[in-house]
Amino acid sequence: MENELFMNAGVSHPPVMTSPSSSSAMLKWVSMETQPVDPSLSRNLFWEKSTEQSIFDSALSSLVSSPTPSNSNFSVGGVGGENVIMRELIGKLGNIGDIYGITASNGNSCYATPMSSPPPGSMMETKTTTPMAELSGDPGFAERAARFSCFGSRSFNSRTNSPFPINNEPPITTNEKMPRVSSSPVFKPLASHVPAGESSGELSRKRKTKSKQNSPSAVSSSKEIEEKEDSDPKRCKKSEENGDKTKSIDPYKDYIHVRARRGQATDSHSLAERVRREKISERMKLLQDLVPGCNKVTGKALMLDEIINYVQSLQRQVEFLSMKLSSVNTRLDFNMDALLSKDIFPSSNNLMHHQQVLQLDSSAETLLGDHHNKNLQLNPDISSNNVINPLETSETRSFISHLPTLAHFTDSISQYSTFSEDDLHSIIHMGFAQNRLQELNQGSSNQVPSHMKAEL
Amino acid sequence: MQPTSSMNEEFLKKWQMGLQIFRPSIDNTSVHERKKAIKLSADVAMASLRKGTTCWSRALIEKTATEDNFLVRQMLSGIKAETLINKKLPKKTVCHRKIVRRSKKILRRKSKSASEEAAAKAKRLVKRRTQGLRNVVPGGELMSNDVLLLQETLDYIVSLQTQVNVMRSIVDAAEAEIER
Repeated sequence: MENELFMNAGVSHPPVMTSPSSSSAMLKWVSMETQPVDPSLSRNLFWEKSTEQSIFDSALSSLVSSPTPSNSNFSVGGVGGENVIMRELIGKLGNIGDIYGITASNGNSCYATPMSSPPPGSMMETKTTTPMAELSGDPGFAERAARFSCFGSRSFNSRTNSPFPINNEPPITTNEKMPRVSSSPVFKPLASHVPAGESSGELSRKRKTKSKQNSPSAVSSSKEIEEKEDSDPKRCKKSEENGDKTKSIDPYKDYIHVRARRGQATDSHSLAERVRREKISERMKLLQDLVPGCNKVTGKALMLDEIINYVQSLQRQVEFLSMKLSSVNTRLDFNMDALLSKDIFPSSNNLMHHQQVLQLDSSAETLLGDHHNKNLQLNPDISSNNVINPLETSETRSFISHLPTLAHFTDSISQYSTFSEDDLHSIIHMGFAQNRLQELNQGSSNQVPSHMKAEL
Repeated sequence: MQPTSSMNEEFLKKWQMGLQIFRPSIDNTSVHERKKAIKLSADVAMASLRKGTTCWSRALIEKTATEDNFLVRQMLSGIKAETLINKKLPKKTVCHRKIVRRSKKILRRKSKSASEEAAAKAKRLVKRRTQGLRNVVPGGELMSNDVLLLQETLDYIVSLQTQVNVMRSIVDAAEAEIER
């Protein structure tokens, strides 16, 4: 049962397509109605019953059939009668469950119409009025389209009992139209059954419906083939839709997530170029901070000039210092002695101060070594100290960058002036204090480059 | 970024090791030879600070290895010398000069407005400076990317400052010792 409901829901789209075809059918019925009308009352009664059945069949056929076969049916104008019969058959076979509903509704309508039906005089009046409305033109067609839509809704609601007064009006109006379309098949049973009466007519109709259900198996098979053909392109479309979704997701991941300002280009190449320029500007700022005298310079070319000059000057300093070092010492042994002399003083300090040795770091040891070297060098003559001082000042002027060791040496000189030569112990204590301060400074300086590196 | 005391100490240790290696072979040689030895050992010590993680250090190691492979292997014994020396540097891009000339001619034919001409001049100046920087930094010619070049330059300047600071302090100490 649920499957049938889904099938009906799936078929719900075609009626929208069939609406122009239904309008063309209306045109045909209008042309049929141009023929003269028989005034006999007994025939009218039989026509009412036959038209009721045909109404439901035609509605179902229009719903069930796909748009293309309906167009082909309507295109062949000469075979209108046969097309009507085919539609009835297709409708009955297509919806087996609905047929039972139709029969029940037919029974209800049969009982309802004679009770609520007006006298034959009123019937004549309705006949005279409806052709006038039909002949008027467009508004009539609109009303008929609305009625067909009503039939469509009823077919979906066939299981629920619809109110009787709503049923009364549409069959009356359609009664006049339908008999012309189905006149040829109806005449034969009418002529044969006229003397028998209403009850015999109903029985004969039931037999006809059964025979119709059994005979056209080929039609149902062809219809099933059409359904399969329809289902295949739908599956293809679904697969295509899935492909589109996957494609749309991938490029989103690959894109660089940079928000572009108004007026900026947003193609991938432009975004990548913008990112590259931002990186270059960051690096240039870092270089600006690192190279002395570069803060005032504006413009990329001049900044690069400053950087190149600085690197070259550093390289020249290395050459100069290595040459100076090689010329000062007749042998490398002197240089090694100087280096070794640094190592001796920390060991002597260890002997003198066991407790404080634990607190010392490698940096402190080297600084202490420098400190003691300086003290020993300063001891012999004051005049030699005076000579050394201008050398240091000239060196500081010649080279822009500042040295922590030079600062350390200057501090030691000032301390030496305050204390006497013999008080080595007091000098050592002061040295420790300075080392601790320098360690703190070093700690603070160490933190900053870590941040910079993290940023890089 | 500034050179730190830990960098100074590490450089000093490396340099001392290099000088010890040179000591038996260059005791009574000329001043020029001694200077060369000191410079070479200082360069390798500086390069070893970065342990081959940067292009300039790898380029410098490769250059010194051609002069004295023994020294380089000894000094870098703790840093997997073979992998460093064999590690590849970025390849240099070579363009055909004829094609470059043609493209330049085509560009020159076009007439430009004043603002466009000024912008072109500025670009040309920056391009020349960038090329100059590539020549100064070791391995710079092999870097095709401007961002990479600037980053390498940053690191190289910091290392150079470390080298200069340590060497200057040693020279000052030596001079003071002699005067005494």
